[in-house]
Amino acid sequence: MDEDDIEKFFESLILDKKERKILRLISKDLSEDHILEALLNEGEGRYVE
Amino acid sequence: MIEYNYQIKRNEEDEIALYVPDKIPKQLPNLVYIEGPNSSGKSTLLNMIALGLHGLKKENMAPALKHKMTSLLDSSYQEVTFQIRIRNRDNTLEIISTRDDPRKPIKVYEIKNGRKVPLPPERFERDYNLIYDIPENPTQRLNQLTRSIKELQQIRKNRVASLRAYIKTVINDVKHSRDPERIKTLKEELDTARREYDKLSKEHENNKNYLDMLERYTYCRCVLDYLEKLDRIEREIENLKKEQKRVERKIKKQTREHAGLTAHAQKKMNDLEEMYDRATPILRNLISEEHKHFIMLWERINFNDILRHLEFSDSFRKVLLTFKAILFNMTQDKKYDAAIEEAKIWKKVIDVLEEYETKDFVVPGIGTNISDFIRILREANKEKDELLEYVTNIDNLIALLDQMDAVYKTLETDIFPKLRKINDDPGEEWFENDVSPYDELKAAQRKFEEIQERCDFYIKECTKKDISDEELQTTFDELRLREEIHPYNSYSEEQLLEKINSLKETISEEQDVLKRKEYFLGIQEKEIERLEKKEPHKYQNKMGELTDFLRICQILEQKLVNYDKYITEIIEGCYSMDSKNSKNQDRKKYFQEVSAYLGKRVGYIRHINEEYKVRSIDMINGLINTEVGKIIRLADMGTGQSQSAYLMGQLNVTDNRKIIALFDEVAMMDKTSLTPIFKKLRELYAEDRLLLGIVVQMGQEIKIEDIEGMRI
Repeated sequence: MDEDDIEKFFESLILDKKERKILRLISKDLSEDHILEALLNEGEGRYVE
Repeated sequence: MIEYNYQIKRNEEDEIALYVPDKIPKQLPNLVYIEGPNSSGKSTLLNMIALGLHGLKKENMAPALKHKMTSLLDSSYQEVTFQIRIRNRDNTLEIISTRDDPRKPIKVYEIKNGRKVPLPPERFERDYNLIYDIPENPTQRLNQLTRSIKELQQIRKNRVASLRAYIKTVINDVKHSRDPERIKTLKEELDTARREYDKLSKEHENNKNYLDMLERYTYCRCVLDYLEKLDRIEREIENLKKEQKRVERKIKKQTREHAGLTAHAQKKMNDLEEMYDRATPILRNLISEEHKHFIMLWERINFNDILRHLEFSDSFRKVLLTFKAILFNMTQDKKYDAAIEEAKIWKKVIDVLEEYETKDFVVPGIGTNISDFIRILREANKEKDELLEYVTNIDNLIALLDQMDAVYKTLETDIFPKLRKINDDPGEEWFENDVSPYDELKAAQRKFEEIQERCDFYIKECTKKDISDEELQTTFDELRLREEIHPYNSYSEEQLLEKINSLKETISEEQDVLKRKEYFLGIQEKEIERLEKKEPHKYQNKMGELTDFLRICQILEQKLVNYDKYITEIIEGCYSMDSKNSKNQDRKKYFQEVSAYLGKRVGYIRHINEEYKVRSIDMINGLINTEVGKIIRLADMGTGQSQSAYLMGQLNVTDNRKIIALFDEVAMMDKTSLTPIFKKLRELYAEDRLLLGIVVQMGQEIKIEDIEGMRI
């Protein structure tokens, strides 16, 4: 299964940027604390919609 | 003819297994149809031939088949050697492919007209057309793809759930970590609570001191009043005793009118004396030094003497009216007016509010409930209330003196003259009336005892306050001149006791409140101490974002749960008409996106003899939408007929290369579908355009058929 294709499939279904960001991060081989750190650090400034 | 042999040594951990061709004959005709069960060596034979004939170098070979060939070369767990010889019908052409040493490359030779030359991949590709294929079944592939979507969705759903749980744990940790803002707020609350506590504590101490002062004043005043009264009664008792000695028993003869008037006079005198007893202690405190001689005159009044002589002294009414005038002047001070008016208004407001005291309304502009508002009003008007009570008491005292004056007038102008006239002119109808000085003495003694008892009570209270008998007068004189005590000079004994009880209740309530506040302060201090000992959390300033991400995870998780339901409907084909025609936009959108995704994944699809680029695949209605607008039904795909057409397409080549055709897993094709293939193979073989044709099919038992000899 091509990961890019399935990512695009989910992005066509999920339009909210924050939800998309979570989906992208969880598809990577990252632990929960790293995902949360990535979310919170991006949350400042440019991540806010 | 094809002759072959191979040997696979495989490390299966528990043993080194050896695989050799033992079910399918090692010599086969050039055109052969093989049936056999799983693990009979059919596919291995085809893989080995394709591998031996440079199959891995062929560009358009299906990836799945290339993978199978590559795994044969994997030396990490197995060693493969083989020998393959393919000869044409008249033995003028032979291809030999060998691998005698698993560590060395495969050797391929061509023997043509007795001349043996190497056959490298480029030359093989130039002269030979290796066709190795497995007819595709797109329906199966689509099912695999949709199941993959479900699996990937579930993986994401589980990860989102884990992330949600983790964020929740972090939020909980942050809440229980050191929070400087929380500590700051708690400290501010603690400071405010401490200030309130100190203020209340001070008020409490003031109230206790005030109560002590009021008690000392009250007890001293009552002792002095009662001692005065006792002294008067004692004198009266002495007089009665003297009279008793003089007239041991006096039988008095009276007319009925005289007896009635005497009883009436006695009743009025008792009333007068009772009022006198109530008024005197207050007068004694209110009347200033410059008018003290009036008090002395007042205190000399002997009601028994008045009754005995049936006349008041000249000074009685004069003093009474003087007191009234003095008291009236005391209430006419203009400075009291505004305060008294205000006190009266607030008293009315408080009276109204008290009806709603239990209601938990907040008073607009004040921010407290009614009960607290009443308390604030009472506190703010405390002094004015005392003033109002002082003036009211004086008014009441004037009213009492008016009543005394009225009784005086009745006695002096009506009853006493009548009695005096009867005494001067005794009538005929006399009867004996037993009026004994002994009874009067007993009554006076009873009264003495009662007053003595009350006096003793107050003496004990004074002793508790360390006031000795000698200090009574000086203590009282000192207290009554104090400004705080001034209003109480107008109070009666009952009013004073009531005030003392009220103050005691207030003090008791204050004690309870102070205890509660002290407990709260202790808890607050411990909580601050506990929080200060904690380590700060790295995300303590990110609570808002954490809460936001928790919410987003919950939304996302719910979406993925819904997607799982939708994909299950597609896989299981259990969607109802309702859901099919549903207005549920979310589900509709999901089905559309799955269709587009499947179309993209499948890419191109063969149908009959054509290849089409797929736009989308509608699994619900079983339709393949192509870019050129052609709609192909899934039900028409993957049939034996279409597979047959596909393989025919593979064989329908126009170049002059010699064909080596290897077809595996033609499971969907029955004899009817296979017949054109067999015919085509025979035709090509007859034309010497085909060197080898092997068709492999799943079967219960090993079955080898020479296609050339088949009855078709």
